[in-house]
Amino acid sequence: MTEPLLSVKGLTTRFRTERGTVNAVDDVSFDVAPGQTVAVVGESGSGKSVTALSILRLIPNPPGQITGGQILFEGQDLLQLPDAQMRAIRGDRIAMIFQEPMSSLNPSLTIGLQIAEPIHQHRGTPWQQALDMARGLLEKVHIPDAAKRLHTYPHHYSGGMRQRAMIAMALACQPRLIIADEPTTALDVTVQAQILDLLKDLTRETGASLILITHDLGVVARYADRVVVMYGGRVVEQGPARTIYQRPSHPYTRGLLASVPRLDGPAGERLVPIEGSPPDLAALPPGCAFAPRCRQVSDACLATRPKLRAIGTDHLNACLRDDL
Amino acid sequence: MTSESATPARGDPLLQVDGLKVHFPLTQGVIFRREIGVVKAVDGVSFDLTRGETLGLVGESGCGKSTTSLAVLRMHPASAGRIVFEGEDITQQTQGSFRRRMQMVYQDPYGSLDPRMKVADIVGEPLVVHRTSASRADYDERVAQLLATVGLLPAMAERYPHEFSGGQRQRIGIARALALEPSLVICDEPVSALDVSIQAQVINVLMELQERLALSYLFVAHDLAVVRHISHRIAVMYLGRIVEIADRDDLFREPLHPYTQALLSAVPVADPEIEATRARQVLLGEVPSVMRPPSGCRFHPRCPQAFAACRTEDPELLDMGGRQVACHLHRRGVIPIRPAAAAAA
Repeated sequence: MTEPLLSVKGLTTRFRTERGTVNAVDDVSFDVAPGQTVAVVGESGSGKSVTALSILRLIPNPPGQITGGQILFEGQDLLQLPDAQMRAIRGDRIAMIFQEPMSSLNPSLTIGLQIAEPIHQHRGTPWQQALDMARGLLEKVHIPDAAKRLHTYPHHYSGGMRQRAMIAMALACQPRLIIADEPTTALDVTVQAQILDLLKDLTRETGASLILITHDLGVVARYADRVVVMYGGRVVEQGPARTIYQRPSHPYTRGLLASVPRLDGPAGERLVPIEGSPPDLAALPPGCAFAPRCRQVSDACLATRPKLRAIGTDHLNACLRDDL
Repeated sequence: MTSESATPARGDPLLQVDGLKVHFPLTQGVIFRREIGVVKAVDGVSFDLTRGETLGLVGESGCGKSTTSLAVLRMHPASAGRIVFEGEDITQQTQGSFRRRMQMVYQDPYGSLDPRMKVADIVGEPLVVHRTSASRADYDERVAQLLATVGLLPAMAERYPHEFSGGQRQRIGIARALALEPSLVICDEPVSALDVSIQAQVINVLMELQERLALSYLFVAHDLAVVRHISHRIAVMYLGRIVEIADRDDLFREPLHPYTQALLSAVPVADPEIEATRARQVLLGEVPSVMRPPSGCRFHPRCPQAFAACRTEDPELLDMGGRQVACHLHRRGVIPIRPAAAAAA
């Protein structure tokens, strides 16, 4: 395997809450190879968004704090960088696309200005030239009438167009890594397909890597090369997308795949739900976080916290039971 | 259950909606309000629903699926058309027994339960409002029974909504909807606010209740996999109109309307093998504003197969033998190209 572009090692992010300190991300490790699309999958409270924010060091402190681990990006540990150097990387080498395009765009600045800003900031390109480049970027994300649209405000844009503008902004400095946190959750399905196809095409074209954070298993199947499944702030399984879908190994991954109705599955049959609810991070059991909902739970699962271990080529699983 | 049982024998309709229109005036000015236009949120929608049947209403935002369901509940006045429920024309009624016979399950399990009320009071409130219980003991028994019906423990009756998870809250909402023994339950995106692992729990509860109580569901959702799973028949809406209505298996096996085809092709299947080889049709553009719907067929600006007539003539819902579709391609006997064929061409 080639040298990974990003290597997250033992990342732990804590939050102080009224109910005590919780590990929103707990000893999380995964690699992203150049040009690869890695999906981080999980439900609410699984720590997938906090992982994304931690990579960019955007965790609000207080209440949050990255307490351990390394984030090696192009060989450099991002957690050791001074703030100024980190700022120089954000939006330049690593870009982020957020879920809510409306709340992450500034309503009082024109779209053009917002796309040109990182170019001006990071590259020192004069504003006029940066605006020209912004127009090119808008064309690249298929916004009709880009020259005119450059000077309009976010509220003139529809949901899908705003997300396109966000993608244009993310691409502005030709990042090596794009982190997209639920980029299409707020959009209609036909627009979702357009946006994700666009993102995939553009990353392919520029050779950038993509971390796609989502809860949608269909989206993962369509776009991801590699899948990291998170539960209760921990990685429970990871591997190549095909392996995860064909031979899911962790009971949570299996449960998740079985509980979702599929367009090509049998209709009208009872689904197999995962009983119980997603875990409360402030009251995690001492052993496996999934143990209280697991059908195959054993005594050991309640007492011992399982470690991620290799169970196949490039396939890691954190389940104590190897007989499953 | 297999596909044979997908369609129960279609008996007399429980609900008939005929040419329903819901128009909202667009006004300008505060003191001198004047109408500057009209939003045709629902513009001529017809369907019927039999006892024990689930009709899925799908479409993207702004297609009018929620407005249609609210009009059926008589929570929005109908501008035109007829709504007949249990043989009674309720189009102009605001009060009456139909209020008990149709109930609603809401999307947001957090906003739809009063945080200051105990679960027992939330579930029992319809019983109090409609004075259905003879005694306190009667009432308590009914509330306990309702909680058991949706799989909640009797001890939970004295708790408050904040003590429950999203899935449990949605069960409370379902218990409340069932309190008055309705024949029709309108579910507006009942699982879309829930975590994926929880959605299956709520879908199963809804399906079990339907079997046990012979309920009819009008199931409004945007998630096609969920709708396919729970519905017997499905109506696809686009900008205030039904563009296609068919039995579930027919619709998914052979979608006739180009919009339905695109919609199905846009939804990813949770299998990388299939996704790698699947031919797809990606629609251009977005849903236009309901305030300025396109002329002719409302889908024509995004339709890959539009021709001249589509720009000028509004297509009617055509009967295609047990199913209906509103598309000029079918009127002319031209079979629209399926996505797979389109990709190969």
